[in-house]
Amino acid sequence: MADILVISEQRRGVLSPVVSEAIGAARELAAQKSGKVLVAVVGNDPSAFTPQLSLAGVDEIIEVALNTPEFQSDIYEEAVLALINERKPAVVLLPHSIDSLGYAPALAVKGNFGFTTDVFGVRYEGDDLVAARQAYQEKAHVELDFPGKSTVVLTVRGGSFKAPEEAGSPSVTAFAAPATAGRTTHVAFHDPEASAGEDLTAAEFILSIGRGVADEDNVAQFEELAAALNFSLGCSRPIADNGWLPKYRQVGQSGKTVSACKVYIAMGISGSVQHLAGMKHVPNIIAINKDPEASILSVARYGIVGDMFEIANELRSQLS
Amino acid sequence: MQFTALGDWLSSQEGSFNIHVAAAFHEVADDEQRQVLEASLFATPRARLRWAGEIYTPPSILEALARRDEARLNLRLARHPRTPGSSLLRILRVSDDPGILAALAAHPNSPAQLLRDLPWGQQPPIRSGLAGNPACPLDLLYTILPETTMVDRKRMAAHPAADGALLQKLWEVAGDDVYLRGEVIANSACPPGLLAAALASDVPLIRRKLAENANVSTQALITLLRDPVPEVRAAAARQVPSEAFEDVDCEDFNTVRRIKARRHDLPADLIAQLATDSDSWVRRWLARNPAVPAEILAALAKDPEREVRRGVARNPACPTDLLFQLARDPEPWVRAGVSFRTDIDEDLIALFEHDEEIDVLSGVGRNAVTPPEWLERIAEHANADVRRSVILNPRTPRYLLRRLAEDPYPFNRVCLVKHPAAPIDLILELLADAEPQVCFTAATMLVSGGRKAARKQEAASSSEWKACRRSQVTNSEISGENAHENPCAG
Amino acid sequence: MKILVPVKQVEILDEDFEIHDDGRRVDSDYIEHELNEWDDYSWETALQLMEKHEGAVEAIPMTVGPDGADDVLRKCLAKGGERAIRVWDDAMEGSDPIAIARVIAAVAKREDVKLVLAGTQSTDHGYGQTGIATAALLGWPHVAVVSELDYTPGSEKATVRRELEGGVEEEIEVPLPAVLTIQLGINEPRYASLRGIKQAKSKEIEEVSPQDLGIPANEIGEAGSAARVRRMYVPERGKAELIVGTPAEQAKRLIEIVNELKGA
Repeated sequence: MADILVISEQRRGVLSPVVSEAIGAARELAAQKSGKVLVAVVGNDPSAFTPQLSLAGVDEIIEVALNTPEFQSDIYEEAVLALINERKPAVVLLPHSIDSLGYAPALAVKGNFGFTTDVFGVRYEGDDLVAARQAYQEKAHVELDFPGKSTVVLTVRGGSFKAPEEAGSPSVTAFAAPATAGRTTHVAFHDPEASAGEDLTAAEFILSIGRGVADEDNVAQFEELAAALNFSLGCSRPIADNGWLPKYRQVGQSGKTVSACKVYIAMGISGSVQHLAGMKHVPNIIAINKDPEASILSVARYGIVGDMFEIANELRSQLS
Repeated sequence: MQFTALGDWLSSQEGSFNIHVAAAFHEVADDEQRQVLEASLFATPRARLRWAGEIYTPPSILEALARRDEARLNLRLARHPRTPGSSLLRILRVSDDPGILAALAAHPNSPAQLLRDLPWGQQPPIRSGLAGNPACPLDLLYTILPETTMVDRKRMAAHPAADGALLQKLWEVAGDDVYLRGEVIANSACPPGLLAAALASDVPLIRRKLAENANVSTQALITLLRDPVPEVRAAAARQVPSEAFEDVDCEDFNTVRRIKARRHDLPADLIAQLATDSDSWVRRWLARNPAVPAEILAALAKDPEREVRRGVARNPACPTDLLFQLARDPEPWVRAGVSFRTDIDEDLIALFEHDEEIDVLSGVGRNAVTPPEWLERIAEHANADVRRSVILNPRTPRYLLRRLAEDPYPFNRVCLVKHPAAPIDLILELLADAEPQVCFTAATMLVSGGRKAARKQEAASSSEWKACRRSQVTNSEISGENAHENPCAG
Repeated sequence: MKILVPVKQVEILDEDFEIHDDGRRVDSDYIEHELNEWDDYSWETALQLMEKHEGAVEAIPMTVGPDGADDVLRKCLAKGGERAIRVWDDAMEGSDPIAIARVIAAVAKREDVKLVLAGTQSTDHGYGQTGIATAALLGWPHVAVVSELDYTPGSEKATVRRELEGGVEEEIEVPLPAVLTIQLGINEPRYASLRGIKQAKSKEIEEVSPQDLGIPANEIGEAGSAARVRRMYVPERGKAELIVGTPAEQAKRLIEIVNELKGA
């Protein structure tokens, strides 16, 4: 019998959407081996989330009440470890997240489980559990297996699996977590300050121009374009060195990264090491460059091989 | 560097070279010296792969790699923008890998005969490569046209060699693809008959592309200036003779007014009206416009928007008394606009003696009239980008350059070796720098005529701006004779 | 007090590469090496503590790897610190982050450190496991994804901030000894001076084997790992999606994409 156990995660009263996606993955696995899908709702008030997680395919919801209102690594680790030791699932799924980065490896070590992280595919091949994840900065994929491990813990990548859409009617049980005092102490949450838009390190949407812009007089039309897109304007070194834009707009200033940025449009930027250092972690990079071999195209999610002025002109026309 | 000096360097290395320096010297080395360098450069398969993929690899090395006829290298070589045509021919002779053939089809250095020899009939990616390759001859475009996709045809419609007849054909096969038709209309070789059809088109995109065509008639522009769609009017406003502009009152779309404010041939009464426009972008464009008279600039220099005031500071025709006023502006970005000007004198730069803002300091650091004692201070600034402004200053004294050669930020040292006054012995020292980009650049500078070549390379890479059809303004970068523009790759 | 900073020499690929004949890894001819980006920040964190409390803190970089990995240790030493440790034996081949963590934990014990500063994850494969696994092996409290650290040597606690979603940070008190995994952007890593790079060449790198550390053979390599690579392959679709068509079409699609991403 190969049961699949999904562990929930929440922050300040909001459940992570990846939990339901993990349930979707659990269903597929459970079907392959005729196992049950168990979902552990973990927190100081687990029953609040039970209805949300009573999805089609879930056989049992296990409410695990903890003596901590928010995530604490030791408490979560010991509770989940105790639950695994009691129910002995074949596979344990957690969202790949900041929280699971904080406790899943410790859990795996303590329980001597099979373990890997950030998987976007999982299946059985015969009796072997096989998990797929990326390698070499998404350039390759690997399949991993877990010889000799009767329980495997996996953290799953958000957006890789489909959450069940319909509701189900699982049974609901409770599990008493061991009483534990966490060793670290939560002091406070600090919300980000509202940025004046002048701080690129806080900007979520950035349009950046590079030496393709060629002339100071061409800069203003890209400022206008950024305003029309409601993006902050950034630039590469030569632009700021020439005084065409102020230094705070330079991306890749030594050590500073545009860490809050979600979408980065790079126009006429080839992708020097200095510039890439500042923006390569942005999840959605759109690069526009005349040169199909420009190195920025290899880190971009979307690329346009073309003239930045033509594209800017078209964007401007279509945005008004 | 003369050959004898290169020979000296080679023998001084006792057989183990800094490979980045070796790569830079390869180009000027003779055959015998090249063999010695290649023994180090090409020692392992990994090293060979790296050179084939590195963007700054000189053509002579790419050529040497192509002569090895190694299949793994050839894909990288076929994609490398600097691989010479003769090497591409050689690669074709030994390759049948579809990826390599597609790369050859797209390579701008591929000779016409190579392109004709490609098996374009069997492989769609080859046709796509050809359609977008500026080196593809016109007759070959005609030949492949029947089997191309719509995407390929769009590339063809923008092809530099496309003539009226090809464009006519493309218009006909476009059917209801308005985007392809739009590209045909935008092409300056578009036949007059199609231009006339475009004027009467009920598709706004096509009328807009007509307004953008370099050869559109004045009459058509005047008609398009009154088009019901604002984007079409804005496009027409770029090129139409300024006499065609009537009262700006009837133009209620800011996008069109902004285009007008950029025109250097704007009539005086229109300038006066736009100077009080409620849209700050209109006023910004006007502030930078060299055709705007002094009294209007004086008014704009007092604008509540800092970007308008900065525009005045950057205006080539800004009178000196206004510059003095703007040098005292409360906004650092406005003051920086003055500090970066290359036409100011010592009296004006003196106003910045105690200014600590990094944008202003960067301008002062780069300025040719800044006293050396100030440069010394700026050269010690905590911010690496501010320090770099001194490195980019053509008048920075040699002793200061020597100090700056110790700068911890590698990119600053790269810029240093490119300085026109960088002493030779300093550059020779930097051949041994820990950072590959620094040693390679130092070596490039030493190679005979290296500095001229580097400047040529800067000019060539900014030939993109020459291709810019949109810019109405010629290069009015104020630093005129200063050949140290855009010195650093970014 | 001593701070141990485990650093990793990561593997970087170009756009084209080949999978090795055994189908489980990339042909090494295509692999370039560099220091893990996260480790720049953790090392800088350690250096700043060393400088602020001169004489009271010793920071020691270490790595697990064959002798080519000395490179990353010298990079660290060029910025500061006096000695480094490299652990290797061919039996380490096939080690996953858990097996590596066993080595790090052993070194931490041997050196009697009070703090281990690891990178949150590595540039190449991004497992994000090594640091926290080390903490579990040591039995120490731990915090991952640390974006701020406030610690005075001699004190029994450190105050850190953990970076959460949406720019929110959580302030946490951590008793020492502890393991922290450091996030990008916690500070501005310095550049090594030319003098520092020269001096680093003569600083000591101690070479140690897992046996020297008392680690049994079944706790390293594949035997000591929690996962094993079964197969490596190149996915069909590359990462970048090229938007084709006329500039007008490309702009239209770009606007669509931006709206989608903004909405998400």
